Amino acid sequence: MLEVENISKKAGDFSLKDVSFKVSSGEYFVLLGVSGAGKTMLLDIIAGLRRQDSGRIVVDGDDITHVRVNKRGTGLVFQDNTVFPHLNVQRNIAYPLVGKGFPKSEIHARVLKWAETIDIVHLLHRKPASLSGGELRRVAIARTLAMEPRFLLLDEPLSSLDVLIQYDMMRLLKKLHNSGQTIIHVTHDYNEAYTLADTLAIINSGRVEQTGPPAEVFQHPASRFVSVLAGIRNFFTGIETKKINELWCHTIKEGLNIYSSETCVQGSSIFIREDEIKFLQPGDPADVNFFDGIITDIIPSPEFYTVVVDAGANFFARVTNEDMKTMNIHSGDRARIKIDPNAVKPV
Amino acid sequence: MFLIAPIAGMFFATPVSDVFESSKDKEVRDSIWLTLFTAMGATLVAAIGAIPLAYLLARKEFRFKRIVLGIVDLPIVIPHSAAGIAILGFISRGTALGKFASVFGVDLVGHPIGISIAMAFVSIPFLINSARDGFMNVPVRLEKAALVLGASPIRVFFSISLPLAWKNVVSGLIMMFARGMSEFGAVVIVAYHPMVTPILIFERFGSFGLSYARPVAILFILVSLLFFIVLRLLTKNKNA
Repeated sequence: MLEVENISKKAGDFSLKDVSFKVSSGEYFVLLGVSGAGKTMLLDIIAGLRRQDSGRIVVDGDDITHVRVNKRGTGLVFQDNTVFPHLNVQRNIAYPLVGKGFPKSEIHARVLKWAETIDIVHLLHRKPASLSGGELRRVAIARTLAMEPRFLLLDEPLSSLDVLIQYDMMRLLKKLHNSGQTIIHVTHDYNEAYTLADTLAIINSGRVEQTGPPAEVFQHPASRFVSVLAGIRNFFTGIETKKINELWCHTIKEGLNIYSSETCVQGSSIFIREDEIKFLQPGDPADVNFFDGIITDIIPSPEFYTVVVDAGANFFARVTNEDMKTMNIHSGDRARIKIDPNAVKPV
Repeated sequence: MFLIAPIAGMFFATPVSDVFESSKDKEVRDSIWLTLFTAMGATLVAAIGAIPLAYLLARKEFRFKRIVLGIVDLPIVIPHSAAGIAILGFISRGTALGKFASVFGVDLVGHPIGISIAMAFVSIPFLINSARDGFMNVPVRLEKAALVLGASPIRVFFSISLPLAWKNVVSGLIMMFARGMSEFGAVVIVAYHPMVTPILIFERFGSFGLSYARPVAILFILVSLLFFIVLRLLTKNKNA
């Protein structure tokens, strides 16, 4: 088990603040955050490339905080493909093995084993300059696995790869995970995190905001930032919250109240999933949480449309392609939307 | 044209037979061998300290680094005769180095080792600066990747940094060797005898005139060119 305990580090204007999390053996742990959140700095600290100001890193009960980088046995695959340009693929993969003093036959066997696992046997005699971005990424992963690291640290492993190669890489990472490899993966991509993670940690401005299984984190975001990462754009912070009958009334702005059936406290924020916002047809009954507004934008995507309605605040509603055909709505039209109080979730 | 004309003029003004005769002259041959040997020795021995120093200057920030960089360039800017005087004061018998050498029965003044020291002094900036540029061009991320893969800093230097900076290091070595071979001002003060070729050319010119100095100069230029071409060819594959 890897335990990151209260890691803090200041670097210029940025600082990691009291970061803690645990990664069990065999777990796929994803750190999700936007650029500049401190993800890479944290990986560098775990790998031993940077020294933290305070905090500890413990692996299987051993404090490795002050163990030198080349003695940590922690494999880090850098974002910018640090494949050694003067060595061919075979010698790149052999690099960590040569230093361990294995006989040549053993090195050859191990290089072949990892090349087969990562499916790059056909590249073994090629120089890095002749490889594509995806191939370089695979070589870097094979080389790191050859050292048989306790933890595989991946810094944005799918970034700057085209979509088809990203899919192949995801399959490869899942395969490695299924073979028992513990993986700590940092990314800014919500879909990537959701697809791969057993456990997800959301990092923002050097602080871990929420940790848990991806479904739980995205169903119950603990902050506006997590909501945004989860693709929730209907996130509102009330200026006043009060209980009226059995419902909780959030005043978002003067004259704009949203009712929730879940218990809230003063100052609670609320969020509404986009598919929970419904369009009312003329004559449809409406009691609470209906809003009149103007459609300001219709954003298409392969599976659905996102319709933006300005009803004093911007509401983002998801409309299926089929519904879109029957509704016959256009940008600039007036529209009435409805939100079930049960769909209004407090944060 | 400005660079080619004087050399071409010298070649055209000198009969091939004179150059051929000079090549059979033992004094000329000995001086060329001595020049090659002392310049090569100076380059190889100095490289042991200069290349790691260049790496440190490329990678580390420390107090007074700019002063150290200025000191490295000092031999380029001071007159070489003055450099010779300075070296003479450093290696003569009364100095610590001179006394140390005399323990082994060597008087550095007038000795090939003294010549090598003079050559190294004036030419070492070419190696340090070129190697430093090379190391600065090696991405630090590659060195960090090697460390994470379990390599010691020494192994990282020899397996990653040095091979990737190799082109600049070799250029620096060749430039240092070339500059050492052609040195006159500092060497003539440290050791008139045994005569390196630049001093022999000067002496032939002073004693016998231009027509006696030219064949030796041409022979020396040809040998120098041959050496540089061979060195470049030997390192070409490594750089590719």
